[in-house]
Amino acid sequence: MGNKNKLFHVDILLSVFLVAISIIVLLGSMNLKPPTYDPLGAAFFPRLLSIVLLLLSIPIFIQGLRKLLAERNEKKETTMFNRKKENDLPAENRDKERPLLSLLVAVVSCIYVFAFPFIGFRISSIILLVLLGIFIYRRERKGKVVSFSIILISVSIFLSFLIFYIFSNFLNVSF
Amino acid sequence: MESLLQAFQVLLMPIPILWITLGVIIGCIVGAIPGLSGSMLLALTLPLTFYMKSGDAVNLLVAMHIGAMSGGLLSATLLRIPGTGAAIVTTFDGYPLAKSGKAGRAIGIGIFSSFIGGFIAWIFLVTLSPLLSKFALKFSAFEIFSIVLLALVMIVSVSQGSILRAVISGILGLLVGIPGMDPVLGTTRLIFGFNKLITGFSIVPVLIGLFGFSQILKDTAKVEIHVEQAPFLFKNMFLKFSEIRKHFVNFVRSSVIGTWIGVLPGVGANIASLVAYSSAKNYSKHPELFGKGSEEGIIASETANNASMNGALIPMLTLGIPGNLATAILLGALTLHGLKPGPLLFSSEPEVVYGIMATAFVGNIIMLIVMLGGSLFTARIITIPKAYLLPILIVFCVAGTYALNGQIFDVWVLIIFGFVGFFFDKANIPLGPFIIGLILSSIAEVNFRVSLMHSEGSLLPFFTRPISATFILVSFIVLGWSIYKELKIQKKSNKGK
Repeated sequence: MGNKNKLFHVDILLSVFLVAISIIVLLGSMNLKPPTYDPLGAAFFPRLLSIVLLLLSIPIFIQGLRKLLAERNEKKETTMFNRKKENDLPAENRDKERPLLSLLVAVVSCIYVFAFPFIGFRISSIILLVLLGIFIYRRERKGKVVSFSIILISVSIFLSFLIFYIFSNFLNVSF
Repeated sequence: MESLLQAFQVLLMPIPILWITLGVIIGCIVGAIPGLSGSMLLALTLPLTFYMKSGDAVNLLVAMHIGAMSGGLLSATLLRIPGTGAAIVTTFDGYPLAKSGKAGRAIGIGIFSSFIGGFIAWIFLVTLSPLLSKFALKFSAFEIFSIVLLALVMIVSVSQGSILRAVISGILGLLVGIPGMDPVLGTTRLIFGFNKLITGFSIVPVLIGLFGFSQILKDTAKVEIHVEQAPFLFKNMFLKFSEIRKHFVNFVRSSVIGTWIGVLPGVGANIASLVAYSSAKNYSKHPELFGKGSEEGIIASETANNASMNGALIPMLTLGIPGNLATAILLGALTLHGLKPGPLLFSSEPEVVYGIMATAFVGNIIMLIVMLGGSLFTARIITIPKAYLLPILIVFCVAGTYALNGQIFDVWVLIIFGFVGFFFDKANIPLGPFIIGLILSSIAEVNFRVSLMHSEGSLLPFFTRPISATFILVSFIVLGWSIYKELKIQKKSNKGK
């Protein structure tokens, strides 16, 4: 299916990422000077690698641009008048990747890591386990709601306390 | 031989056997669950082993590796989803055989094949390692750099996807190993004012991020994908002696292929099982059955992937170069415990080296018992809802990483590399070269710079010293051949369009 509005391809993002890393490393190694007994010095290896990476980002960018243009120019197979609603699609087409769920998990995980030094490991872990369990269950739909909820809350509380107890008492970790 | 017998004497006590059994059981369960992998398990367990005795830590990790490699067979056979990458080839014949009502038979063949492959490779491990370590003692900085270069070229050449992306992955891995103290001069570099980076990126959060957190993010995107599970009946699981004799040539051939591919630095079990499978098909009297439930196909795949596991221990123990991703993590574990794998470890700490070999042997036997006895139970677990499993794994990732140094910085490194791993997957950048590059970054740089100090800046000794020249020549040939093959394939596909 064509998409004339598509703005980028992942390869273009990748080439930008590679260029950024190369520039950061080159800038970071500018102040490193070799001493007299080491012909290469501390700066040689990072500079060599970042220059090679910069050069390799060029074919990646070209590939990304070609793929983006090819995708934009493909014929459109559906229009807004004949496009099927998702529930009308056969079962196997509904089993597709959900990147937004991954994004949600990533965001919640970041909040968890930020929050646990302030609100404590046990409370933050219980909240994370319950929240993510609910989000994923809504997509997975495995098991009945009531039994799932009871098990989820029980397991979340039990595991959080168990991990805290084991790490604090046997591994001397202070959360 | 004496050192090996002493290692067995130390190992055959209740506590080490308990650790090995625990490791195999956990490894089998994790290896069986689609979406989780042995590398992920090893990475997650790594920080916890910091508080254990080094012997117990190594026993646990090696046993987990054995269990995970074998556990992948279960989901490959029952769900047609490999529990580990190494079990991909097992799905070709395991699942069709299971669907025809012979799941027990398929799993039983796989378990015995894993055991036999592991055992034959173990014989190579024990006989070749001491010889190779003596040979490696003659290596100078030139040879060490050349073999590291060969390892990087090998993993780039066999990685999935394009060579260009594999090279980029390797270079990024090498770059991540650079921030911190310069290994030759001792000055700090590329820390950008973050004092926590003085010791560089800690390997554990990077590994957990790349293998653990990024995998969880990928699995979350696929929670709705429904699979049909083949029914599992505990029937005909045990191979008779006459059946082992019937397939003897296949067992030995696949073991040898698996061991030698495992020895090649950077080449993994999935390549070993693929090559063994192709070979078995070529030599089979019934090649038409391959892909439709051939027992020979399952034997070839499972024998080779377990053999490659012990094969990969050979370069790790003798040269300090990981044979595959799991041994890269084992290398990290040994470093964490103040041990430096390589030829010197054989002479300075033989009990560690032979302890690993003894664990590989005993772990293989325990794997056979655990898999035969517990496969029915494990088959129930592999469909555990992800709504429970994935969030629990996130908590383990965070707790395990935090436990290492009590620093929240390490946890943020985990999160960042988790995103990096997820982005790599979307951009078709293979992880293997990144990990090998990261592990070998310091060794590569130190030996290259020391070599040039000895040769007063001349590159000639790399090409005039016979061993170094051989490794470099092989690297060029392998890389050149891989680029040529890729260009040929691209040309064919362009013609097809």
